[in-house]
Amino acid sequence: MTGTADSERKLLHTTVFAQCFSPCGKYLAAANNFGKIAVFSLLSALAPTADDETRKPFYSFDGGTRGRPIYCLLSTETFLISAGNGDISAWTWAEVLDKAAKEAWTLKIPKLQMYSDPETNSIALSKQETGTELYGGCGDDNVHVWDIESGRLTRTLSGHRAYIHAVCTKNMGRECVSASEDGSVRIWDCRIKGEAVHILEPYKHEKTARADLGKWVGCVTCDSNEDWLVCGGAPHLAAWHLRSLDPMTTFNTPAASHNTVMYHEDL
Amino acid sequence: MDATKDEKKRKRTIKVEPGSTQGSGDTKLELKKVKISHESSSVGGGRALFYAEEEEVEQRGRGQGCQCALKESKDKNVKAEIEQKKVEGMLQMVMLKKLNRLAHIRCKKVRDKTTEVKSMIDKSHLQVQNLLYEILHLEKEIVKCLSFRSKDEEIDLVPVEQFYEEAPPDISKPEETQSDAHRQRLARLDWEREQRQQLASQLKTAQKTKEDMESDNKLKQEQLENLQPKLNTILQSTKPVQEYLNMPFDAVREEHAIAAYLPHPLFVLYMQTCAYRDVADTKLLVSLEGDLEKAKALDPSTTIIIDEDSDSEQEELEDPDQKNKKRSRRKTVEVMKSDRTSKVLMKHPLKVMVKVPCDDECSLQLTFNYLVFLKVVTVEVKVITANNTQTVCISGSDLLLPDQILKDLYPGDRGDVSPNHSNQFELTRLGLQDFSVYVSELGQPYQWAQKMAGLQFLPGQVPATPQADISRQTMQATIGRIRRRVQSRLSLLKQLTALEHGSISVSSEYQKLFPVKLSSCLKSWVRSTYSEFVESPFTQPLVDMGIAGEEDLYFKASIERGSAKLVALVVVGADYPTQAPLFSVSVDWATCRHARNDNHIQELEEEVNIHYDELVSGKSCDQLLTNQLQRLLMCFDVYLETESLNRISEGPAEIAKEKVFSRVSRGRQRSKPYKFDGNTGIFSHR
Repeated sequence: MTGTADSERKLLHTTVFAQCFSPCGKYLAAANNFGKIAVFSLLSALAPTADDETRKPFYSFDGGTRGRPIYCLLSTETFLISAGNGDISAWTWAEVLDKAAKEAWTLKIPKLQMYSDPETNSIALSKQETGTELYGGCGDDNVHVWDIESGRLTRTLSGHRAYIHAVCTKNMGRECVSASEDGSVRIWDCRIKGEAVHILEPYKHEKTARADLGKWVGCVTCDSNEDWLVCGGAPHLAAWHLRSLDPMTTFNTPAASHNTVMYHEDL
Repeated sequence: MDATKDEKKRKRTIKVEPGSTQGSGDTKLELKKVKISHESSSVGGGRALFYAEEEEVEQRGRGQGCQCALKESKDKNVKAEIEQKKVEGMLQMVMLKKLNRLAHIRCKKVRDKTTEVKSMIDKSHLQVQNLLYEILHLEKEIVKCLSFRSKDEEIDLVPVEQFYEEAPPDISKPEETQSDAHRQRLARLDWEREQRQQLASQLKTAQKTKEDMESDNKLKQEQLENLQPKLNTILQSTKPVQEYLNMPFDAVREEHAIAAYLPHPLFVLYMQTCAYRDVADTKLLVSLEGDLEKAKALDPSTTIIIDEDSDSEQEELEDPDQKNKKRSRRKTVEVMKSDRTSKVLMKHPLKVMVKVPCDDECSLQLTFNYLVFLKVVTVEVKVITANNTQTVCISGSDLLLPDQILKDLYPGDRGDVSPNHSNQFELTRLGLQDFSVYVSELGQPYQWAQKMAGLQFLPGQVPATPQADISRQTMQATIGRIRRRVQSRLSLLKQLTALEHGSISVSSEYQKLFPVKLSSCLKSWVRSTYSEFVESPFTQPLVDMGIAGEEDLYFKASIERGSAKLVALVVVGADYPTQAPLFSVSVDWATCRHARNDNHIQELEEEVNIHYDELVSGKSCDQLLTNQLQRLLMCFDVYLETESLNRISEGPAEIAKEKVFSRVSRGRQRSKPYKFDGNTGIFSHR
């Protein structure tokens, strides 16, 4: 190979797992499967005079996972929170934009078993009166909840039989929804410990099931009215009515499974 | 007098007679006519005196002589007169005849006299002629005699003054010779003779001395020649001593003597390589080859002037008249062109041969040539392998080719373009083709070869004289690279041969990286081409990025397990194993999946292409290809087994789970556990 560097090879095998905007909205942070977070300047990248150079990230740094993938990114007012293989790390936006990012704080996932090394697949924030809570859907089949200010693990919601793909909060943070590899979507009441309030299993419904792709649910989101829930993955992408817990509408996507879904400009 | 007068008159009258004046034959007739006229007149006298008067008039017109007589006598004495006249007439005729005869005789006499005199005149005339001729002859003889040069004139004599100065008085005798030219001459000749005798004797003595000296020289020469073998034997006897002491002075001195005739860049190369060999790498062999005589004949100061030929040829073409004249002498255009080509591409007669041994059996022989006009160093490569080394391999048949083996030793150094930038201009100016055409006969002008000879061709710079620093800096690195290249090629060949036979032979030190049992197996391994690679639907990004180029080696491997088939296109760069081979995979198992449409295949490729560091041990990465293939097999197994596990359909799966996984999938992408832990035997995720 004429003059190949390893970086070019890596480019072939790069997947970007997550991205989020900065609080001011002018920057975009993206994380990939090699554990790097890259920051782009949107003003220069989307300007009419943009060229290849301006579309490249102006700063990229190692996201604290030592070469392993970062699966999710979140942005608060001051922090950029990243999570993947390893601990959940937070970086101050100010430092990131100064091109001198250092880990501000980390949250560790509790090791419940000997050889487990769970990843965090998805994080979600909820603002409460008591403080900001971070929900993490992890590879050890549990949803862990941390309090950001103190950094303590407050709750663990367990019940899934396989690892969790996605979490999201609803009802102003009083409830959270998690979608998992075991094919179920569980709705939890955060104040109550114990079992999930509702369990949805899309792979069992004939409308949504797609047996040849499997049963895992990759993504879940709720709308702002709290009435509808959209989830997809191996089963068809479908909108479920929460009251009746029935899939009302399915979105036909032949031969494709779903990784992310979100509500956009919900009217 | 009177008679004669009458005769004359008669003659006249006869002559006057009209009619013919022919000659004496006719005179009679005429006379007769006169007579008749006379008679007629006389006969007719009686007839008419009238007529007689007329006739008298006529007669008077004719003549006068007889008319008087006739006048006097008239009718009486006519007949007597006529008779008398007749007699007179007869007498006159006789007289006439006599006169005639006399005339004739006189004429004859005169004629005879004339002839006599004439003959006398002729005779004397002839005598005159003879005499004149003789005079001429004598004059010629005189001239000849006068121009006769005696031998003594041919002798160059010293000039007179010099003669008088030099000659002794008894020869020169100045008193006598001054006055007498003849004696002077004699004296001079004498002196000449004496001088010559003296010189002859001098010559003899000189010749004798010369012969003596020659014989002397011969003797001494023979002595020296006898000395030579003795010296040789002494030298021979020192050789074992040199060997014992390991200081081969003689051989080194000889080589250095030859090295004195090397062109400058080759000289730098030679000295640096020798120095390197002496210090660092004793197994390297450096020697000089070539024709020393030709090199000596090649005067280094003459720069090869090629322009003149081409310019003069152009002039010829422009001036056809001149060309016609010179055609017989000038060579034909083709001969001139091939002369020019050979001059431009001329190699220096001496070359440096470096032999780099790579492991114990095989070695690489590099011959460095210097092109005198183009001022570049070229390399001819020869691979020497031991007998038991595996070199026969279908898929890798061109790996050890001499012109391929050192390509891309440094990135981008292909060896088909002349590094001297001015060469391209020179070649086009002289109407020759691109340098790459001549590479096969001249050798390859690798950049590292130029550096080893101390030549550095920077763009925009006139190439300076070769410098030893440049050579020194790169020498060790280059030799190291060459050695590694040959070794890696040989090991690659070994691996390719094994792969062709369908077996992936993993050496013992890498065994622990892989599980013991792998169900997938390698079905075939063949050589592929760049065009085939490009045509595949899933290799587009690789080509676009420039990772897979035309110069790389391509292979196709097919692996099977059950009904699932995996086809991998492998790109091996020229600089294997510094750059790891790249695999592009497609799986055919009910559907066709590859990196573009299946995340898991992309992760599989990532496992093989990027995380290959563990497959390489510290000292050598010789087994990289084999290990990568083994890993590919392993990951394929995992892929198939985990896919089977993911299905929720009931019933026996085609592919049974044989391996132990910590977790079947992990992360947002549901990655498969491709990573194998040799200690625990469990597959897990990275």
